[in-house]
Amino acid sequence: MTQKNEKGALLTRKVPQGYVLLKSSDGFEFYVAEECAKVSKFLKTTLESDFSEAKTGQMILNEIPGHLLEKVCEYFYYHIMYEQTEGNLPPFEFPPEMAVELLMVANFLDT
Amino acid sequence: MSRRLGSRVLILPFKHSVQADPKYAERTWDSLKEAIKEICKHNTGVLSYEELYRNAYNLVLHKHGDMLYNGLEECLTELLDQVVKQVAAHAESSFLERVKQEWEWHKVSMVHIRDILMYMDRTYVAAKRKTPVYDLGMALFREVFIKSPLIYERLVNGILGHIQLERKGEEVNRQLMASLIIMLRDLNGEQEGEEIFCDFERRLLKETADFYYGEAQLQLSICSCPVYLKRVEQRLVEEQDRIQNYLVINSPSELIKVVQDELVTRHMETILDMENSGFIHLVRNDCIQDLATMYNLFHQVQGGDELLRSRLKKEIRTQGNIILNDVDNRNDPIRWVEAVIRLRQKYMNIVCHAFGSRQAACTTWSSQVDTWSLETCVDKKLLQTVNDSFEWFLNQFIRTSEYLSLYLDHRIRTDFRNASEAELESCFEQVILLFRAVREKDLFERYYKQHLAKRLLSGRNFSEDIERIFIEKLKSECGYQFTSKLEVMFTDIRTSAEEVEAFRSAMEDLQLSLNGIEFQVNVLTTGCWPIRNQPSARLPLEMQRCCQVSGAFEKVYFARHSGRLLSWQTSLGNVELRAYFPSRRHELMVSTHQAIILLLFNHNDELSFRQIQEETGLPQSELIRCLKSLACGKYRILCKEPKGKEVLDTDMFSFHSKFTCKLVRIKVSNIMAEKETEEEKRETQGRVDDDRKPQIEAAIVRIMKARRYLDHNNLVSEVISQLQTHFVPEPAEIKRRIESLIEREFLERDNNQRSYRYVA
Repeated sequence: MTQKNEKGALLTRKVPQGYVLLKSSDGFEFYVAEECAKVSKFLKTTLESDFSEAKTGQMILNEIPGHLLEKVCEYFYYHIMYEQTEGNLPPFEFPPEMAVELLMVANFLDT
Repeated sequence: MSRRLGSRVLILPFKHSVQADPKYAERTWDSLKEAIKEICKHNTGVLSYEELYRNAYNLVLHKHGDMLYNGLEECLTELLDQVVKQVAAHAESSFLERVKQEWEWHKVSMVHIRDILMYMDRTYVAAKRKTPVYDLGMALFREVFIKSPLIYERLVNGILGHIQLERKGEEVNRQLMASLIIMLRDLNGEQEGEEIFCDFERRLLKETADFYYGEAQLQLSICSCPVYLKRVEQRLVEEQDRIQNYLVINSPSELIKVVQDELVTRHMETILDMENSGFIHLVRNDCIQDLATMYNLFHQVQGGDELLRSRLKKEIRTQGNIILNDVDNRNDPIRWVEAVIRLRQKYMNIVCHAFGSRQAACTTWSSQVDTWSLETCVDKKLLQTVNDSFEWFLNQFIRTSEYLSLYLDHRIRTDFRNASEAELESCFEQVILLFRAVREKDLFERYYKQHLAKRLLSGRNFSEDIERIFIEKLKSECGYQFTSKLEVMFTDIRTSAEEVEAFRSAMEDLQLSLNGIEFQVNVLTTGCWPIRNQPSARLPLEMQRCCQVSGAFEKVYFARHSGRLLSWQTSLGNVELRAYFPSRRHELMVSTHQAIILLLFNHNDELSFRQIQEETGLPQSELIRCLKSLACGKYRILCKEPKGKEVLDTDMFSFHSKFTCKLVRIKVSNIMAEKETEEEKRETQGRVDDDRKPQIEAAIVRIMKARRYLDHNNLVSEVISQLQTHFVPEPAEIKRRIESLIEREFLERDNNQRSYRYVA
């Protein structure tokens, strides 16, 4: 569901229907299902607006480094998977040292 | 992640390289400002959302929120100022269109601006309790653009002008109107000076009032009432249509009310009193449709119902008085009652069909007049008005009760053979409806009883089934007591037949003959029949034989029922006479009294009125009636000298030897069934009054027995309410009855107050 590409690749390629391309500050690219990306209010607004990102379906997230963006994408899918589930959920795993940074990113993305 | 944390935590940055740059904030804002301008030029597509969002995010994060917010406000104001100038330059034809365009663009731009400043909305605006970005944009549009002196007046006048044009019958761009009006509504602020929409509505109402004021003046001067009413209805439909389609105002009911006020409320009297087409005209000509329109319009405005009711009342009273004052009607009970019934049906028809709710009127339109189902949907108050008015004018005329009963008598006697039961039933229904309005029900009862008695005793033209239908109706109207005596009358007739049968068989057992007399007797219960005890007439010799038979009947009757008293009422008897005229033989069916008179002429050729009176011993009024029917009626068996229609006590009578008639059997009709003379009327009234006395007393005793102690006024009102179903007693009469009861020690006066105590 996610793909890592070489740093510095150009953002001009065609994105498959129903997917968006997210690019981290250090050049990692992630293809994420549109539905999942919309878990973030920030991404949702972006994709539904008239701005350039909405047309291309790709965006560079200059605030977020690759390792965090990966975790964020994992969370998107986790969120979608358990959205409808009631009761106890399996915990969303992440290394404790990432916690603070993740919180900041979540604040930025409004997730 | 927020899912797991449960509550949102504001994360403060702990390191950031760009913070070091003091110019960073200014530079970032400048780029954002450029972007906002681009957005307002509809060039959103070339901008990177992520970049703008990030910039705004960073500004807010680094405590430059104030700068961003104020900068935004300033920038938007500046942009809108330019727009004002552009729009103001447009000519009238495209001005409104352009305003709408700007408004729509502004909305789109504000959505985008809000999106890029989303982070500010979430944190800075929430923390500082400022207006959110989008709302700020709307407020600025109102304050800077709409309220600009270059725009506002032109805009409002433009919209009102279009509405006015449409009212005058021109086509306007409804969609444009709708979006502009919705724009004004959406932009309405809650504070003083921001209520542009309220201001718009006020002006709209004023314009509307002015327009329809003129319209009413014009139309009222040229239209007839129905045309005007239709026009008003049409106008109201148009306004409703406008409200539904584009005039999306907060108080549509107020707009409609203004229209109604100007077109209807102000001119109600003028509309009603229009010469040759007003209310009276419509009612007189049964213009149901127009009246329905009128009712619908008047019903919706204040005071309309009252006015309609008072006009209807006045009209019914006028028409009622016409019937009352018509001499022909006054003297002919049948015509009188028929006229009243027709009048009542006319108004019931109008009320039921025109003065009801619309859908109700439609559903019952085709169905036959079924009063019960109709009354559930018509305007009850108007129905009440009709009933009240009829009650008023029926009670104006003292002979109502008598005439009603006479009419019934006439219908039953003449129609019962050829009319179907349903027809008679509906006729009875009409009579009952009028009877309901009559206050002195006991007076009617007396007359009805008199007429019923005559029908029962005559034995012909009589059908118990038909009589019963009416009595059942009376019973359900006035209760069991009212008809109990009437029932006794029926029973008497039935038992009489048995008595006669018993008498006949008794005579056969004794082997006595009846001297060839066909003997028929009705034994009537005293008190239940409206019969005055009249002195028996002196019977001539020819009738003595009958007396023997009646004597025999008495013997048989007393043997069967001991302790009873029989008194013979010759005034109610019938006789069949065989008379030999020079031309031929005739059989005369006459009353006993007529027979007595006729038999006198067996011995005398000519007799004076006085002589007849002496010979027969009949009271004068009765004698006049009998002679009238013999000498002035259809069959003139006696000649009167001098000739004339009236019988005077100086007249001479002789046997009419030249009498000819095709029929063998002649029924000499008695003039009895005609309406009463003044004298008899007074007598009846007197007897009714006498009957009332014990009824009033009984009511007083009933009430006092239950209450033990009561003051005068309450007692009087209770007595009236108890007796209302039968008659309305006079308070003075009640007072007299109370005094009489005190004398007889049923009650005692309480000395201090005007109160009474029941003495057991």
